[in-house]
Amino acid sequence: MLSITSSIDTTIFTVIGIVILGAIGVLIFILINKIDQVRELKTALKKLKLSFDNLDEQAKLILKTDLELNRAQAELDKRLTSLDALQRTSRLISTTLDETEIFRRLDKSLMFELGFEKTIVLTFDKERNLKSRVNSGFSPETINSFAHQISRDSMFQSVFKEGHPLSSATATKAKKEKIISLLGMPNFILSPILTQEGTIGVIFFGNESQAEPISEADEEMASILTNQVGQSFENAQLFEQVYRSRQELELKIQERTKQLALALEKVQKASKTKSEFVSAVSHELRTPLTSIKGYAAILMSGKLGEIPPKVNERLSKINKHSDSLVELINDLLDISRIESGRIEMRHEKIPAKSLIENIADILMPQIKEKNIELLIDIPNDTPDIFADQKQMERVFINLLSNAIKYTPNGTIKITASRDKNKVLFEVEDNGTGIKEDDLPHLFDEFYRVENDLNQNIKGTGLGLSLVKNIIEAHSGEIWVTSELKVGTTFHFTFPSQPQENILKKENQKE
Amino acid sequence: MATHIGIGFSKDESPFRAAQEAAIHAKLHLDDPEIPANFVLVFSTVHYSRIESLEIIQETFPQAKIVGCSTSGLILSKTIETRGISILAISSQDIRFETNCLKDISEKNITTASQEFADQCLRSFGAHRRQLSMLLCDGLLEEGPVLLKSLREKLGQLSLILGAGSSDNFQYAKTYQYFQNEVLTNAAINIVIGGQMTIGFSNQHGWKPLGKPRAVTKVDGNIIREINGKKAISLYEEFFAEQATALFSSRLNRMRVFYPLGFSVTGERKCLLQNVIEVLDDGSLVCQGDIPEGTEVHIMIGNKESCKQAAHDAACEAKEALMGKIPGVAIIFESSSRQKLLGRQAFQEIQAIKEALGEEVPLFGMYSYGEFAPLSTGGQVGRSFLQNETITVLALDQHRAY
Repeated sequence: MLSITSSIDTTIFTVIGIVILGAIGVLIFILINKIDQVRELKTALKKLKLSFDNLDEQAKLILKTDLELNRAQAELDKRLTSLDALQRTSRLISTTLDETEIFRRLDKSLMFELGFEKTIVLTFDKERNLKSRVNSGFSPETINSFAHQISRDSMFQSVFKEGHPLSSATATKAKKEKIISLLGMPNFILSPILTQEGTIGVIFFGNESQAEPISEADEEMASILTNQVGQSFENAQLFEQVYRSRQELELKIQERTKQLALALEKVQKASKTKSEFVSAVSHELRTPLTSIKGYAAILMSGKLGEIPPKVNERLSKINKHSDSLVELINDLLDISRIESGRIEMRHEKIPAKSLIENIADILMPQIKEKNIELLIDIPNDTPDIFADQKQMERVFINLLSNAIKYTPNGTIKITASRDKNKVLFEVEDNGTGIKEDDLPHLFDEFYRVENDLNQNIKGTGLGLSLVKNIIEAHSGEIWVTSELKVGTTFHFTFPSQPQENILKKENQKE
Repeated sequence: MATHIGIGFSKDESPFRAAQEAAIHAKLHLDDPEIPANFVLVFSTVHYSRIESLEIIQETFPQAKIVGCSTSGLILSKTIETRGISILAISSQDIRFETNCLKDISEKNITTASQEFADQCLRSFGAHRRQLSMLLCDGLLEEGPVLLKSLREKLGQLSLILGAGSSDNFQYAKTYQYFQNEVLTNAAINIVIGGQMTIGFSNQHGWKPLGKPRAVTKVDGNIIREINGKKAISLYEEFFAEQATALFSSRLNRMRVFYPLGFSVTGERKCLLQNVIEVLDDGSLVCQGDIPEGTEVHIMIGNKESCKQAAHDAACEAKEALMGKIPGVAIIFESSSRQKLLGRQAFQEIQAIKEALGEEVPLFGMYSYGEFAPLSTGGQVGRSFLQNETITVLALDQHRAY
């Protein structure tokens, strides 16, 4: 019984032992497994920590790059804002030519946009003292003291004498301290206003704020602005000078015009007196001349008795010279009348071609006598002219007679052509021609060209003057072209449209 | 009954004339200028922080509670101005405004003074339903977080407190707070607002954490002494190497503005952003707000696009929170650091807000030195913090035809 019990116990212990051993084995297995897992976890953790550290390193790199980018971006932003404000300020000040207005336009808000809280603009007066033109934010006493100090202190002479800007970015400690002591501004730019004549003043830009320390780029920007101010100031001064000169010139012109008007009045008065004198004298001469001619004719007719041939010859000369004198007096009277407006031109429609042909017929004997060829080239479509027929005939007769006189033998050509509202006539000869020096005086009264031929040709020197007066009285023009020994051409125009009595009109105007 | 809103702006050189012009415009823009405004919010650049400006505003709105502060820039629907004065006038018999002011802060025991101030804010509003508390504080003071804490304790930990620190064109010299016709400095103003209105708000920043998190191992209020057992500046030194010395130069240093510190806050998804406002000689970093010890800290990174997207998101969330009501006006408190970061693109951010809210919704905002806002947004109001680099959009519903 005891042995059975002992055997059972042994079996139980054996089983328990086996179970325990099995459990220990399992536990050892689990433990080994867990140790492996922990080892793996530790490795993973190590890797994770490494990754985390790597990420941190990357973050550092990102941050440094970001800082650089932010710095560049901020600088760019600042420059863009400044440039924008600078452009607007420049445009504002360059669009005025008024000195005061230039400075007025440098107003506070623009300066603020340029990045400056306070501004002072100082310019030199005639005594080279700096005077305030713009002041934003300082008392007059502060500005006076500042102006006095900087214009006399050798410390700031580089600004005035060399035209170099000075700023808190580049100034020496002593200069910075001086500015701070004068205006209390730790951030500043002192920029000279330069013109071709040198420094005319200075602009102070200042900031109390620490937000935006002044950089060298700010200094450059301030320089651009002050240069622009200098240029605008110079333009304004030039404009002022031009304006003043113009005013002086206008005054001189007015004065001179007044003098000329007086002179003209005198000339007109003299001319009138002359015309009246010529007219009166001509009238007075005509009466006795008529008597002389009359008596000569009576004597020549033999009614008072037979006259010897030699006396008759003399009487014929008296008669002939009297005719010349009458002709001269008539011409003088006509010129005088036309000049004084006492002849009323009748404007009637005249066919140019028939008029010229009629005149040619009248002068044909002389033409033939001198063996001259006369060519008349008047196109059929030449418009009629509106003129005083009698006066127009005088024009053609005078010009043709002249051409005949000065063309020993050769050709005279008369042409006509349409010229807008006028008809242009040309009387051309291939005669002796006229010296260039004589041409400007050809239409003067009593002017006669001096040459051998002329000594033998009679004339009063009034013909061309009369022609000119008649043509101008019709609102026409006359001019001459000539070449010595080649020939002469007279060009003149007559209106081809009906007009009022131009001469009368002109007189009314006067 | 209805709420009328009028906004005016001027940048006339004379502070008096500018305030007069802006006030008249605001009055004229009220739907019914004959109904007197009962609340006037004034933002201006420091050039216009003058008593004569406030006196003429008070003359124009004699029955209104007038508050405001100086700023580095004015946000308006059509422009961002770095010089000028803007006025928001609200005339409403449905909305109650209670204003309180705490003067000479740095001369007082801030713990006691802030508690008394918070108590005063609470009592003055009485038993009416409060919806919002707006805090305008001198942005150069370090006492902002204490004030905020006191307000939270008195008004309730989850009551909505929004606001901003006044700023001064990046001079970091003197900022101003406006209370009735007083131009103050070293002061805080609180406006408790409540009544029949719906508000929607959101605060966003758009920055993302970069690199592995570090722990703030030693802190002294708002001064971080050690990070990961090393002096605090070592965080920046690790990232920027020798360039980190630039951190000492000025508060406007790019590194401080572009790479703020982001702190993890328990229960919040977003990081709380803080700019380094000062670096001490021992390498400690000074922030505007208090930092709890053991908090995780990251260097944060953002860019112009993420800023614009955050602004858009903030406007969308604020609009959504109005639950279908049309926004009558949106008040914006935005970090002046973002103004600096965005530069010429600053107005694009405002356009993003307009796109979200609607072109016709008038905007009225300022750039600040620190923003008071909860990290949670929209309908979920959480604890308010003093944050940096953020944008807060507060939309008030049009509230017409009641």
